[in-house]
Amino acid sequence: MTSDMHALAAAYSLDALDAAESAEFEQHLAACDTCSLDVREMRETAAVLALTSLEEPPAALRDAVLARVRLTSQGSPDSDAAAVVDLAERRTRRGPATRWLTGVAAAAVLVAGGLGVTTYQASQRADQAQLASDQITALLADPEATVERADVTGGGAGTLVASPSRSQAAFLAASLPVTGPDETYQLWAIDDQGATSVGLLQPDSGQAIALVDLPPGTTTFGMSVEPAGGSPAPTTDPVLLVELSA
Amino acid sequence: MGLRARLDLLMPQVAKGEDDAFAQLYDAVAPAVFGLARRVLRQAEQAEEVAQEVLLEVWQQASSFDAARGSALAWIMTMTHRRSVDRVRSVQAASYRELRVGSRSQDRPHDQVSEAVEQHMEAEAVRDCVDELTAIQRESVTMAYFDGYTYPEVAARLKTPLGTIKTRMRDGLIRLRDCLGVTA
Ligand SMILES: [Zn+2]
Repeated sequence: MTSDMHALAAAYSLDALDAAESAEFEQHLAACDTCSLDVREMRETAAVLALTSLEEPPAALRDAVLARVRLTSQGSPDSDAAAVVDLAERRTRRGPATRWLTGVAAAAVLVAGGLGVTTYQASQRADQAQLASDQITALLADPEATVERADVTGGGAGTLVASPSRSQAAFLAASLPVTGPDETYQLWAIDDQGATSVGLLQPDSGQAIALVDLPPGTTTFGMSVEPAGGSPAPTTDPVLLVELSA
Repeated sequence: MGLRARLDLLMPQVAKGEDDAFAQLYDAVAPAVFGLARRVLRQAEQAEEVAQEVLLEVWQQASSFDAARGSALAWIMTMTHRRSVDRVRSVQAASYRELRVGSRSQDRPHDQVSEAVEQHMEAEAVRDCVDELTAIQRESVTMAYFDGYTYPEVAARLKTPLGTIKTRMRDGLIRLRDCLGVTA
């Protein structure tokens, strides 16, 4: 039987054994130096074989993975992983002629991911940062979530990962141009009646991650450059528009 | 510098939690991870999910990676292959398998995989070594590795006895190993 087992090292290295045979071989492997060496060498060989099948993954995957890496520590949850700006106070303002903020119940939190920006120290804020970080992680891991990517006018790109219900989204921005000292990026949920602010974005080194709540009926997500502190309604042309898929 | 050496250099920094190093590692290895997952799973969405899982696991498990037990490339590609194959063999994936079998004729020809490959010197060397194999060695190895078939499935498809496939798989890999100069 032992020599039969040795003969399975190649098939095992290629994951070509069924579950039962694989388990049987692993028992043998634990005690067989010959097969241990064979499997190591064969796995190295198979890995090199993969170089004949390179394919560039979609850019959105890079954004999603690197965003999660910034939010995910390698061990326990990392308190430095996120800094939060609570925008609740901004959300009480109302703009003329639009439904700016009305009907938006849940608080939006804005997260600058893994950037060492510590805007608030209070533990309540830290909890909120952790919550936002967890929610973003869950959203990015949700196979039902939709991912849309768009270039930002003036440079950079944004990726919107929307929950299946379209009630929440993570917005990941990369390589954004630095805004002037009197300017800020502002995020908008847009429906047939106009634009509702869902937060300000303060990128650090051009990168930012925001968790936003989308009001029911939102069809499009947008971003514009606004005067510092934000505007009740967009005052400039959007630098990014992402249509939510139905 | 080859991909294997490059990844081995980056891993210690990644293990220290340096996300810049991870971004470099991502750029270096993601095409191999996504490309292999795509070959096995056929569907881009499935391949993206596997690639995301694997690359995040590389980040999270970086400190437990042991260079004495093999290269980072082998570690990452073993993970990628295992997860892809698990998916393709799971009950839910039964329909994918049918789809895969049905769409085999649409496969990209072996000699024009992608532009990225053409630029890749290493890939050329690997392909030269693959070409050195006998037809049955090559089929045994690539059907298991790129299509995710078990060796009995390969035997059935090639209408060849089980024992022969087992042996050819082994001979093929050993010949590749020697041709590529791979050491553990
Ligand atoms: Zn053995």
